[in-house]
Amino acid sequence: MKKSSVKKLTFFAVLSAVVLLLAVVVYDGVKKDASLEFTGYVMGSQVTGTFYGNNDDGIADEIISVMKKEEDEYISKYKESSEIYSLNKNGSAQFSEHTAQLISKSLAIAKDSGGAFDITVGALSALWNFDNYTQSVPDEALIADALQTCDYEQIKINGDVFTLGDGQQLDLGAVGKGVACDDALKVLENSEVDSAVISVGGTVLTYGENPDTDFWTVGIRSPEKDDSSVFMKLKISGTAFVSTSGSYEKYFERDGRLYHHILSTKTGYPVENGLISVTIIADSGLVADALSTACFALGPDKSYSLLEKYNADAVFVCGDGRVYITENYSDKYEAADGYECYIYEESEEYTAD
Amino acid sequence: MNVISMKNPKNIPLIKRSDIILIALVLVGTALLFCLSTFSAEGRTAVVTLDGEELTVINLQTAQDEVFTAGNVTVEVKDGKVSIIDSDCPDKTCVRTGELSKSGDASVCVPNRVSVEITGESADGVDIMAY
Repeated sequence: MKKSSVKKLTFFAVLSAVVLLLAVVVYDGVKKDASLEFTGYVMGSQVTGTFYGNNDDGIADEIISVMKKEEDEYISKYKESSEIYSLNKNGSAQFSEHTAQLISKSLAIAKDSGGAFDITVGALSALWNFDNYTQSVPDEALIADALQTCDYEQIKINGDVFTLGDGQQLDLGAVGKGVACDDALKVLENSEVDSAVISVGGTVLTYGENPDTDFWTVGIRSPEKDDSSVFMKLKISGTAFVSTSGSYEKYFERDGRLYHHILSTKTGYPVENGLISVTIIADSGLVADALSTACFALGPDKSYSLLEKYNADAVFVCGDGRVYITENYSDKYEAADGYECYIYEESEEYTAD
Repeated sequence: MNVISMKNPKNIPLIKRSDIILIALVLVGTALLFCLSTFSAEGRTAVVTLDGEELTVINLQTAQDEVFTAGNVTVEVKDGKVSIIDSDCPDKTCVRTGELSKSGDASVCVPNRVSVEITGESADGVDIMAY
């Protein structure tokens, strides 16, 4: 090769490198500019999210307002304007198609979980009152009375008219955030937004494809109390819902005992089975939320068929650092030091301590 | 420039010294830009929001120690870390959360609608947190 050709080649190689580097820098800038973050508050929870691709400020406002409508008009047990409030007050109510569907889906999961998840837990949850930080252990006799009313089979449905059993109160608190994520998905599907991640008080919706990689990295908060660090990272593909239930979320201590907000519909007291957190990955927010409560109460030994039925994945975290993760995610996670991870299989060998 | 001409009859050097200097300058400049854009993303900043609106953004690398209020919440910046040190809320989850220092760390006072979050290119590479 002639000397001049070598020089020419070198020159073009250098030129290409420069152009490539410039392109990377410019692309990096464009990529970052194309995302939009937002924060809001609904259902006593913080909503955060990021939109990628074609986005505009209007979408965040629309999502927040749809979630507020969900709370105010349909599912809140506190807002006098909601259908659930009306049912709880009058014992019977005619529901919109939307609320009727939410109740029917919730009742189906109640049945499939043998009542481990139960929306008729209202009287019991009102006694413990974790939403308002009462922080006292209710009287034993009152708990026993409230427990009598925790029975999803007592709800009577006649067309669009729903009637409660004696003393029953509905509480959709366990699925509210997931339902809000379902609402967000509907807004996103009718928008120009290519992809997004949204969290409603820790229940997560991943929407579309991550513009940077093949998957979304969802961090699961450490199940240790008062620790906001990431204990596990899950690689989630495309659109999915992730919900975590943990004993670290709402709790108080009395006389050396710890009382957390996931109540057993069998005992009337907080669930005590050695689990400290359960994360569910599902294709619906309502299902993810309901199953995280149900599987926390059931424990890993009794959750397998429920997860299978709803085609959902799970991460169970025990107080001693053992972690059980469904096979679909066995190669899609990273765990922090101090946790021993095993594949979750159908078994009754899960000793809870 | 004559570098594009296929023939080089006058035997003029294909790349002059000035060209090399120019290329070197462009290369160094580009490399600098690249580094800048990469490393600046790692600068940890604390974002404080009240009622969903951004209240203040603190660069934790350069921040002076300070204590300020955000609504009914008291926030402290100390040694490049930030924490909610007081709140009139009943549960005090935000205060118990303690010091935040890593990207992705967050403390939220839901009753007061105040959040403090460390942003910046997340060291953990997490897109969103489930809890």
